[in-house]
Amino acid sequence: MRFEFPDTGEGVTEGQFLEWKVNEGNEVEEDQIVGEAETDKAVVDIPAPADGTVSELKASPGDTVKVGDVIMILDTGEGSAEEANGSEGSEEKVAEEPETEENKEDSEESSEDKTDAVMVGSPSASSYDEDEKEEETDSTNKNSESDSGDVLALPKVRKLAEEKGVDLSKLGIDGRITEEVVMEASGSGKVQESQEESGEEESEGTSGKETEKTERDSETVSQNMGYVNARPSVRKLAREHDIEISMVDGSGRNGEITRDDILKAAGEMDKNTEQEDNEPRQENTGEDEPEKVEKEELDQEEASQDIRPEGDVEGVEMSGVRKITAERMAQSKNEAAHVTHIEKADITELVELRESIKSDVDAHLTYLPFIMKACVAALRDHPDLNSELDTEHNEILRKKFYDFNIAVDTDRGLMVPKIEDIDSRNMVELAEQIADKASRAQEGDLERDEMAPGTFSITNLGVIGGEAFTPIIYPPQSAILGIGKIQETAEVLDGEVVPRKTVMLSLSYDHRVVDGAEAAKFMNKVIEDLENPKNLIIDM
Amino acid sequence: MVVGDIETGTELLVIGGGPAGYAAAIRAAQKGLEVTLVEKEDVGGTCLNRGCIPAKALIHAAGFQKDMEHWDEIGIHNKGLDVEFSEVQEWKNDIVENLNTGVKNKLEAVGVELMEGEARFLDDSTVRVEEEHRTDKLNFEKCVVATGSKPVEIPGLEFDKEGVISSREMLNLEEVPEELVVVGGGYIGMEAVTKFCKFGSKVKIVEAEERVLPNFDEEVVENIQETSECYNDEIYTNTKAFEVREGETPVLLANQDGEEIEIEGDYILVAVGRETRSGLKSVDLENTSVEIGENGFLETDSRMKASENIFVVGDAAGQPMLAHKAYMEGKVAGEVAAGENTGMDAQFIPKVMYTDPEVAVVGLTESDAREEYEDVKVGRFSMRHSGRALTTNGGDGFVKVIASEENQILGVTIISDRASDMIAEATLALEMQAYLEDVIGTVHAHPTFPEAFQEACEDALNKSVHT
Repeated sequence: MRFEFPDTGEGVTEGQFLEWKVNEGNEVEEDQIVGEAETDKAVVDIPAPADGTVSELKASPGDTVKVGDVIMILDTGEGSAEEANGSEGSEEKVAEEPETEENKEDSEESSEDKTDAVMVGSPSASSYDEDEKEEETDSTNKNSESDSGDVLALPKVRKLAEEKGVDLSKLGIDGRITEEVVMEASGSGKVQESQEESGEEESEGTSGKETEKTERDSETVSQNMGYVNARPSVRKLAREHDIEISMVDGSGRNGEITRDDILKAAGEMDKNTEQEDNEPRQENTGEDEPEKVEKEELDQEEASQDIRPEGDVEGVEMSGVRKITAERMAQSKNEAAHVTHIEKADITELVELRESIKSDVDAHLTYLPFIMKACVAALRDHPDLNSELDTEHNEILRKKFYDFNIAVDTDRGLMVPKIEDIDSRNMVELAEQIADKASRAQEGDLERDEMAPGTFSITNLGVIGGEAFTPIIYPPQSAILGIGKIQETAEVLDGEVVPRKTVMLSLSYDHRVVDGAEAAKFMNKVIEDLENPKNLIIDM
Repeated sequence: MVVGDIETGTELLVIGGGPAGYAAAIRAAQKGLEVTLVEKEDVGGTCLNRGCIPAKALIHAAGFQKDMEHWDEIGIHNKGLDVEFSEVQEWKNDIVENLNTGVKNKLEAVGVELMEGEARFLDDSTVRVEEEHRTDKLNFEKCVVATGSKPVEIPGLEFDKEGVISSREMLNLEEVPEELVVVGGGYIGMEAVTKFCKFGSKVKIVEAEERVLPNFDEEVVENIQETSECYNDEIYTNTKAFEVREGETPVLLANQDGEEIEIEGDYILVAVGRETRSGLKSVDLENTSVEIGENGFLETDSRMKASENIFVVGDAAGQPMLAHKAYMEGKVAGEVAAGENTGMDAQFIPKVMYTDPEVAVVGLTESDAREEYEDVKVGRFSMRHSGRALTTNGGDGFVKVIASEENQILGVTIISDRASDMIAEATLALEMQAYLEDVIGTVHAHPTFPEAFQEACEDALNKSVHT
């Protein structure tokens, strides 16, 4: 089977392939981790989709791989000769079931069924951003792959194929075809071969002229299309679910593939899709109309030609993280009505409190846990800041749980690990969580679901520098709190100028959901708690 | 370039209104596409106008004439009955016209725009349609090519020679010829024999191969030859026709085993096969990115696509050149063009020959199966034991079922009256991956012809009650 680079969710459409943990010829078990790639904001493990033997590794470390690209040929002992058709089919499907740019947003739901399609054989399959995929892929080239009879194979492999009666062009393999693949195909392709031989029966009586000969040679009956041990309704069902039927194990008599077999295969993929759909607002999962994409490609090409780097301008390829960040930030700015509310908090007492207790705590206790606790308390009073706007149903979805994303600057770029259930954790637990996630973010060891959007975000830019700034909301959230640097400033207390420890808090909120008054009240509450940290310490 | 071309556009252009083309057009329109169908003659194509339908009408009528003797036998005395062939033809033409109108109405009902004219490709997205009084340039997003096929012409026996006819003209003869020479012992030729032999013609068959119907099992051929005198009237095998000498009655010159012979008849019917090239060339296919294969067909994928936006269906898409295959392909192309996820994956295409008795085959024949499998089970039921066959003056032929060792049905061959109808059940059984027990366990109405299929399945397990 052709193992495609799986969709890891969150709108990830491509990644950088990092390393293989197996070699060609190795046996692997289903779900065994076989490789690693950097996608989105995390390094993800790639599990094997099924038991089998690795026939060919098609991705190399450093390659940019897109969701749906074949990264490995896995010999599962199943038929492979027909896979060519199948995967071609799913590619075509992508081209044929267009979804235009405009309706993408609205049709996330409907695209669900389609998207699992492309994922045949990948265990954690879900969304598929054809848009992005097409951007850099020569689509015509892709389409023609399986059409052309040109195949890459060593002469000995060709010879073997001839001996075994395997048609190399029908294997649907893009790269070099190995002996193993041919053996695999010959082992499982028996039925087809024999059917093909028997296909030469239908021709018309003639009286032996030349034209007739060519006709007769070409005459074949239906069996040429390859025999599948499944009835028509089941074959149709498989197509509808975009399941390559030759890859499904038949549980019926003599291996007949039943309706249930298909539904089961489809169910497995749906489950994966659903999981990821629970994380709201992913990237567009739609597929673009091929014509449109081509046009866009052209437009982009034209546009980019104007600014091609030359002379003193150096072109630096965007990393996966950079691309995702760019896309998501632009999306947020386009959609949310950003307002930033800035206010100073006097945290002299908090600084003193922290200094006094930090040595009692094993974990590295930063100010963040205190701020998080203050935010939870304020969010309870102002739930709209802990909400998500559902434009489709004109509803504001207030969340009754408190999962924060914390912006972390890493060598790979901006990461946003999620700390869950802030309200039920004490200060120390939070400190430990933050330390753990931040260090794993640095290492690139975060699982993708550890970076899924929570309910609210905090960005602590101040540790690097800056008093106040205008953070951008992490979609689909409604607010983000930016923390400036803690510094000693001259404050007036009781008519006297005194040095105090202060911090500027910058709250960006989505004015579609939250009004200025509410944002100000929220901020007042946060500041009140930070200025009276004993309120916070109660649940420590 | 024609001055004053009018340029219009369509989402789906279908070239050719035969079974494949009109099925594609109707299906795509049903699915919401804006469809234009270009046909240069009559919708319905060869099958409806010049093939299956008129041929079967004539075979039906011929059967009556043949049956008259039998009527007398069973007490229906018919002396003085008269057969007026021209009226038979009128009746046949009415049927064709009726069906023709039906297709046109359906096209109209689903909103397909029908253009009567000839389409020629200018490139991958434009055709010029030459109609009677005007020329339109038509842009299309997708196109279905369904240009069909034509009878193959043999050098020396060109169709423009006096007395040389193809299956097309044969169906429109004004009177029953006394003597008919059929060049080509394939099924078109044999069906011609069926018709005219029954109408009373003397039919002579010229076949280049060793035997007629070289693509049917010998058993089949022997059986129908035994049954009906039509098929062994005057058969010249190993005989190559090379020339027709025109005259009052045309004379066919042929070479039989190195010896030159002359065969005379009122008409020389040439039925040696059909070709697709001329149809494809007539639409200037070379202006597109699609290429005609060496065998004269266009290669498509399972979605009937020959290129990104050009579909090919029907005869032009390859063997077997059968209307029922064409229908299925047309529907698939229409659905795919409309964005549906479907494909042509029928695994069994039955073939039917309207001889007397009829022959119908689906799946593997016994000899194929024996080559392929170590052990096969074969069940056979002679129509002589069929109550229903006997009550309709039938009883010729048999049903044969070939199954794997595990009892899965691999193929069915039927020689019998109504074999063309009976093969449907067998085809369904094959597509449904049926086992002998599935058919055996299905109650078949009695007395009917299809019971024979059930009996043959039982015979394969040595438990037939009636044989």
